[in-house]
Amino acid sequence: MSIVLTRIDDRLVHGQVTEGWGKSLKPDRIVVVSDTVACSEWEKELCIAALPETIRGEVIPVSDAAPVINRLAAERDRSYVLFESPADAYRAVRDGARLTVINVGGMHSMKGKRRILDYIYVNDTDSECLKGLLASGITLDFRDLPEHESVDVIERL
Amino acid sequence: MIYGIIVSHRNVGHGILNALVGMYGDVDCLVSLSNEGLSTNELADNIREAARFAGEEGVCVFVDAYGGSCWRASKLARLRNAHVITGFNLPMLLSFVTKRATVPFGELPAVLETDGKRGIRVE
Repeated sequence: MSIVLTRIDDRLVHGQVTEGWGKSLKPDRIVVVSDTVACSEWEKELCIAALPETIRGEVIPVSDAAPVINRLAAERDRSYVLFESPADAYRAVRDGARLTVINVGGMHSMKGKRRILDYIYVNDTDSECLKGLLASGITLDFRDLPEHESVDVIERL
Repeated sequence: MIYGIIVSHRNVGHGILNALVGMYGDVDCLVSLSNEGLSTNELADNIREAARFAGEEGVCVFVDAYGGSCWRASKLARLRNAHVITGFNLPMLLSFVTKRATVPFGELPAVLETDGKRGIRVE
């Protein structure tokens, strides 16, 4: 069934992802793309520790994202792909990841970032990478949960 | 003194702390941190900052849900001399407030777990 959700969320695996989106999308697998998490066995364990028993978790570095995504797209499993940042997603796309829609659901408040939505804060790098994803033909779906309307914030990036 | 930090989604911690104050009176050994609007790393920074007020006796970090961003931030904060206790309820926090001065820090998690579970009844 391929990739049922590709999402940018700096919280990675959390309730909105497993429960909020999971209740309708019912994933078999969650692939977390993060260099920070992938380089630490302890952080990997933390990241996927509490996944429901029905969901398998996997953490990969950004450099592996493109081939893994393209492979997942052809598999029967229902997979999520979670990116920590727009920069990571943009790199995967430039590396050849074939994606059409990315849900932008969680880029939270940090020093040096400006608010776009309650759950979306961006700095210049984030904006450039999100624009780069758009220029690559990818639709950006800004919303935290599936029952909420997608918000058009492109002009504010 | 042993200090407590509640780490929770939205207003869960603020609400339960408010209820605790209404029940017990002033509580100066507990603070509540929300994850609202924060990245996991930013929340971890806030937890470290809050823990700076604790004495050398230790910190109990009370988390609302296992596996979520609050739990992960509590672990990523890498506090020294700390217990991360997930799945708090009002009886558990009341137990913390009343027993932290008499129960040794190392034995406190088991006592809190027992008292928290004692507060859960299915009838």
